[in-house]
Amino acid sequence: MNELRARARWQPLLGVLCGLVITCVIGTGLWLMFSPTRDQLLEQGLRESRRDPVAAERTLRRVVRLSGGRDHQAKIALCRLMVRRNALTDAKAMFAKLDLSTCRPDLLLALGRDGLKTGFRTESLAALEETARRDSRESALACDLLLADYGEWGQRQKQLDAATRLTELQPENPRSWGARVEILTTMGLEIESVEAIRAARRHGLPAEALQSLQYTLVQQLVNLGDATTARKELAELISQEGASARARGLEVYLCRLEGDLDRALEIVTTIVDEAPDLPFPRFTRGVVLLDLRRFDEAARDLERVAAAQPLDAPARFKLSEAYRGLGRDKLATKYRQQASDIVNKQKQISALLKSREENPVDPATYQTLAAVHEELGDAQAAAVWRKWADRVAHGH
Amino acid sequence: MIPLRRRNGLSVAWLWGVCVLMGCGTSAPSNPAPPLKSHQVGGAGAPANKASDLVTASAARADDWFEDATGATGIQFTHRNGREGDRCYMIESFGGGVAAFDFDRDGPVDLFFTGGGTIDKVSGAIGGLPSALYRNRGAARFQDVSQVSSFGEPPGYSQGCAVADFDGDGFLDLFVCCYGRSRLYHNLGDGTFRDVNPWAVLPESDWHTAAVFVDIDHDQLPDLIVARYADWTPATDVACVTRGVRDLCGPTSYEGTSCRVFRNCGDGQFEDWSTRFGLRGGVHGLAVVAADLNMDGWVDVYLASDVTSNQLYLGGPDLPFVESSVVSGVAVNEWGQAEGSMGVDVADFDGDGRPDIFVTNFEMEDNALYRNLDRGQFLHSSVAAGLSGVSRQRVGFGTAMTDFDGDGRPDLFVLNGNPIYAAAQSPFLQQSQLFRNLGGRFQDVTAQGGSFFREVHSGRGNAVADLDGDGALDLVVVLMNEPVRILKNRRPAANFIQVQLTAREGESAGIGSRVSVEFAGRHITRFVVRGTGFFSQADTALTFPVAADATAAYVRVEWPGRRRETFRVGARRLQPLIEGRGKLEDE
Repeated sequence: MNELRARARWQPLLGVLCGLVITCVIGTGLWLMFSPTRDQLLEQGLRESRRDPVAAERTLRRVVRLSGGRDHQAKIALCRLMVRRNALTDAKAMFAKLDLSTCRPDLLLALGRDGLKTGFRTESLAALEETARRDSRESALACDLLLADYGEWGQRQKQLDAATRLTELQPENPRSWGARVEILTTMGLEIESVEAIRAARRHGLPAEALQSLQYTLVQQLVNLGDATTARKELAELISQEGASARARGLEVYLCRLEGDLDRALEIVTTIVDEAPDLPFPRFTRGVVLLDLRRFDEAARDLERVAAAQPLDAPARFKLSEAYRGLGRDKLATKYRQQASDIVNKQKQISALLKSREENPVDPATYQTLAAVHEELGDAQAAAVWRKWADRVAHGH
Repeated sequence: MIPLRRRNGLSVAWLWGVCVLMGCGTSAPSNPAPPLKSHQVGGAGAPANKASDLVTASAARADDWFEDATGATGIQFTHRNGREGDRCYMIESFGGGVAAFDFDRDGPVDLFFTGGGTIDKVSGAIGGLPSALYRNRGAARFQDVSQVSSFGEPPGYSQGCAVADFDGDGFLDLFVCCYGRSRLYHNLGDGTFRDVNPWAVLPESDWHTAAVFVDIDHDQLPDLIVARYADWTPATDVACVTRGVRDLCGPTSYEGTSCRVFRNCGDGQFEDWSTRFGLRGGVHGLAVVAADLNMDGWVDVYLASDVTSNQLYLGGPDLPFVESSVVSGVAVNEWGQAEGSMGVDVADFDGDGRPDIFVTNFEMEDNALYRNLDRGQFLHSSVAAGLSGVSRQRVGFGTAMTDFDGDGRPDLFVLNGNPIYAAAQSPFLQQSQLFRNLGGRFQDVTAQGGSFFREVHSGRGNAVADLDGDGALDLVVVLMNEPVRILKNRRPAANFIQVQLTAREGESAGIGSRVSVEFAGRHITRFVVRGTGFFSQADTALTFPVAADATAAYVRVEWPGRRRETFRVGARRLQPLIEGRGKLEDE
């Protein structure tokens, strides 16, 4: 009786226990069947990041936790969210733990793009560089961002590297070739510039782009002193679009290279007649007249250019040469001194821009740039550099 | 922001981009030359080629201006710069020089070459290599007399050289510029030289690149002007990496420095007169030339400087000389910018009787031709003379503005080669160039220059002299780590006269004199100049073409600041013209 009574007392307890076990087993099974995988959670986090950054961060942290800290996709996405909420210290700490080589290019690009807007520049550039190195859909976009950023910060070599990579990724894109050639030209790398234009021509670019590149090619060939090839290219340009002012302008310099000064003078005079108030053709005519030792006429043209362009050092130097030829030594000295003062300031600016390229976040460089431009009388440029000084001082 | 104009001046882009509308020893040379190896390129006139494009062997053509006669002359010598040390020291950039002078007064022009040096790969220690003296036995057959003439022992790491009879004993002496202690070798007149070391004030370790002897204080003794490039030592050497390549540095890696002037005291000693001379600092001095450039009767000095403005020191009755390069228009290029200037020569290229100046420059720059406008004024005239652009893909070192084709007009020789081994725009090995003077304008005749002009080398020093007495001026070229070359001129004038001036009142060589001859209805004017070319000294004898049937010609000599005399000179031989022995013009 007692035994029966004891069994009856335990029976409901066992039932509950069994029920619990069964529930647990079923629950676990259901959880295993229906709970999101780490990848799904990552995707969920990425989706959430657009609408609900807080939830996204929670989800992504969960992914990181679940992976034992090894999910670099989640980490870079998390890093991006931190950047977006301006938690840059946390973002930097997270970025430092990232293995960029394992990150998805879309995530790298997204971090790079957002980071550039918020003062997370160094890390963003690293992400974009990594993207650019890949052969992914995002690589060209990364190159575009790099091109723009390095251009803004005056880092020419890096800008050139980005442009070069862009032409590798998109050889049929005229804009990428245009950018590469322009940077090479600015850097004074004429031979490389000519090689780039010749490479561009092999990729079936649109006619308009090809023509623009051909103008640059003629310019660079003139700079390189290759009169024969420049003449051939220019003839082709003129046959295609006629003797435009730009083509004639180039021809003046080509004629100088060929030593045909009479022809140079004839051509440049037609341009001056068409646009008598433009300083550049008049300057060129002054130069040619000086070549011809027609000092008086040269001085007349160059006086007008110097008056119109207060910061034009070459015009002043050429004017001083014309006055020297005329034996008017006082005027020659005056303009030579003016030219020299401008050139000295320009050298200072050039040196400062180089320092900026090496250390773009030093506000002192920008302040000095503003000051030198002010001394030069270029208030507009001074204002621009002052803004940069502020921007850098505030970490942007 | 105003873009800073690039080295080659105003770019076309700037103008029109905005204007949218429109070693030696008599038998076994101590500086042995490896077998001659030609680096020929596809065709003369073609752009400078990279070394990998080279093929060997080059044949002479019938219309060549010059023939490579090195083998026949017996000269086997190589200047070495120590590149094997792989240190990329600044001093490796510039190579060596040659002096063409008659050291033994037997008539034919002899040749002296500086040896350069070595740089130890491990320690970086700099050592000297022996220089070489070759005696011309006549008809350009040379004998190595380095050992017997006391040049067997190396000086320091040697580069440029200068020649003058510093003690007035009638024999030409030698100054050798070194990193270390530069040497003054006194010609004892018996075929030997002695290192006289008259430098109470000269530092034991300095770097002298080039030098010229000129009488600055009018005591008839040649004083010495020494060009310096930088206050460089291995301890101050900068490691330069260009485009990821460790290479030689450019000039801007080092501050410019000042040259030095030493007055010849007349007792075998020299004292430092740099301050009294009026020297200015801030130069990377590479060539120094003495001539009467403003034709005022006083000898002037022109100094070519790498990257900083060239300097012109105008002489007068008293010291100091007055630095006048800027006001004279010979300091900078046509856009007002200083260039990487290397070699210099002086001649009347446009036939107006005035001395013009030609300067070789770095790549992406035009070689500069400064036309003498009179009144001590010059105008950069490379464009007008047809020389614009032709040198922009090359680096010019040695040069000669000399009448090579016997038409009375000075032609142009430019010896090219890049000082930078690999990281520059143009290659280390380059073609040299030859330009024919058509009467104030030059035509590129490199294609007819001869086999040497179809090869690529890294050229440095050069000298001009009539080595075989045929009236045609030959070229001696010093190459970097390659055997020197003797280029025999194959375009002798139909007839010629040759004169060597001996001054009685000024310094004996008659530096600064102006000599003219009438030929083909034109006045041909030549100048007695010292220090021309690069690191070198050309023979100071002057050669003029004369009518084919002439047995003699009249030569007018304007001694600097003194008398004008006319001499009757016999054709086809070298004749000394001694001041005071001609017919005075005022008589």
